[in-house]
Amino acid sequence: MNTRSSYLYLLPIWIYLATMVVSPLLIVFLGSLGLSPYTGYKFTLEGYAQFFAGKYVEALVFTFWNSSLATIVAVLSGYFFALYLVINKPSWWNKLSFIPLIAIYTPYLIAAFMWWTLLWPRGYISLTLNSLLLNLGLIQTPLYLVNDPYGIGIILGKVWYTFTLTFLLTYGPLQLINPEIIEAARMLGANTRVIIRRIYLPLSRYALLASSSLVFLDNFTGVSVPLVLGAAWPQYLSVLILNDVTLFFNYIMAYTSGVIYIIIAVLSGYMFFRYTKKAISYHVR
Amino acid sequence: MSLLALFYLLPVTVTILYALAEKWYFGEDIFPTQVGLAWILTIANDPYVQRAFINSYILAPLTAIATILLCILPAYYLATNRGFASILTETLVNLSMALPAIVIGTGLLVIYTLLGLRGNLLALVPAHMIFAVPFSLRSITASFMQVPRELEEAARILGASRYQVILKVYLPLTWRGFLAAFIFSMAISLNEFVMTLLLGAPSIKTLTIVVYELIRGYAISPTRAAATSLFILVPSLLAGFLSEKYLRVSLSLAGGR
Repeated sequence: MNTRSSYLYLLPIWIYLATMVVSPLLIVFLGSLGLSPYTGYKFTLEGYAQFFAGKYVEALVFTFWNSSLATIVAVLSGYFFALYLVINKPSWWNKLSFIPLIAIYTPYLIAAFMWWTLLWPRGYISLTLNSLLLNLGLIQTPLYLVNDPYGIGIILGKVWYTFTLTFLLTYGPLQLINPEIIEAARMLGANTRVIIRRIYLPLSRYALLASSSLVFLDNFTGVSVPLVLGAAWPQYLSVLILNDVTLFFNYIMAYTSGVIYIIIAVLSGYMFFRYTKKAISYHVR
Repeated sequence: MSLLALFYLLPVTVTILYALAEKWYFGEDIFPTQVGLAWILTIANDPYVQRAFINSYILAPLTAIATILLCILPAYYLATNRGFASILTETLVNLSMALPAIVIGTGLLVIYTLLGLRGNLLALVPAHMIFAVPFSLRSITASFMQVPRELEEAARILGASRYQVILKVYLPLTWRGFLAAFIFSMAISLNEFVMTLLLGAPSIKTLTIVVYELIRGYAISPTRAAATSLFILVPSLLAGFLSEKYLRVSLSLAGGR
């Protein structure tokens, strides 16, 4: 294919990306320096000074630990579920494999609302758990499982979706592991725990790391779940940006938070693609 | 197995129960005292929700079609060339997946305001496409890669142009990849909340925006929100079920069997 004419094939997507992805990012970056129609085109670093001085850092820290915890729960449970399927090959899986995929086809906001119906003070999970803990004498007053300052509701809502994502991203690579290696290990006396530790885990580590990065990215940058299930404070950085734009019209802080958000998100994205490539080349070899 | 089913089906079941609850005194009763279709019918006859329903189901297929049209030529190039331009394009497309929607939306708000596109239904299509493009491009490229090169060479020897090769050789052989891209793009558009909230305001409402309006603040209406949710949840799950049954879309995208 002639190089010049071949670029015509890529031109539509380049124009699209330049308009819909690169331009908004430039606008956000320039806006964080005060160079935007909404900030009066006056160069300033006030946004960054304010970001690192108060509630924005608090929101960033909350976003980071809450999404990290949700990622750990989702990745561990999703990976072990994928391992269970690969090792035990349960007969019900072929008929019921759609069940965890429900999360993939449910819009985030609707999923968040569905969890809200279970976790609000009159929700079934909230009622059951609180009555159990009260009867056992472990708590004196009912726990808030949604819109709570620890983000318990956010974690549950996120795990519901990202469990499926982890499972999907690790199930395929686990299936590609040569069964003869497992067979050989079994013949040499290895039990399931040893096989997981010495064979499955090392051979699927890149897929596991790739899924962890993607799940973290999804948890870290999402808006709908923390918006519906989160507390008035502390808030996710994404919710803070949304409020700055739609309620308080504090554009300079929205832009500044956006720049910091992008830096962290791109780093996680880089990890995801790096590990994905390694996982693919590992299996191709 | 039962724990997994409970984890995934309980939220869906309870939402359906809320939608069917005609009388439910949350402070006193564990279950609704009267069930029926009253809320669902009320919502179905509400012009505000009807408008949102129409908007959602206009935007979703338009987004899917526009995404596929945008991806055909680049996918052909990516499937047949592995040079610098391919790597750069793939990196840029993949990078867009990593970017927070709220940040891109905040930047797009300036562009849309300057161009007078805020509150324009059709102008939301390119915004809804942002997160659909990476999945669709990957799906279409992968299906193009599976077409034997000999078929293209034979068509070229017989005098077909590259565009004819794409239209007459590739497209008929790769419909599964296109269908997967179409379904995923539609699902992403139906899922889209932030872009619609930022760029569609104040006039464009979709079903997710209506649900959000019903559950935010202090005037929460769980039964109405649940009934509205069903109008997006049931078609999404049905499409998902059919696509998994016949195409194994997400499992094949993830490399599983």
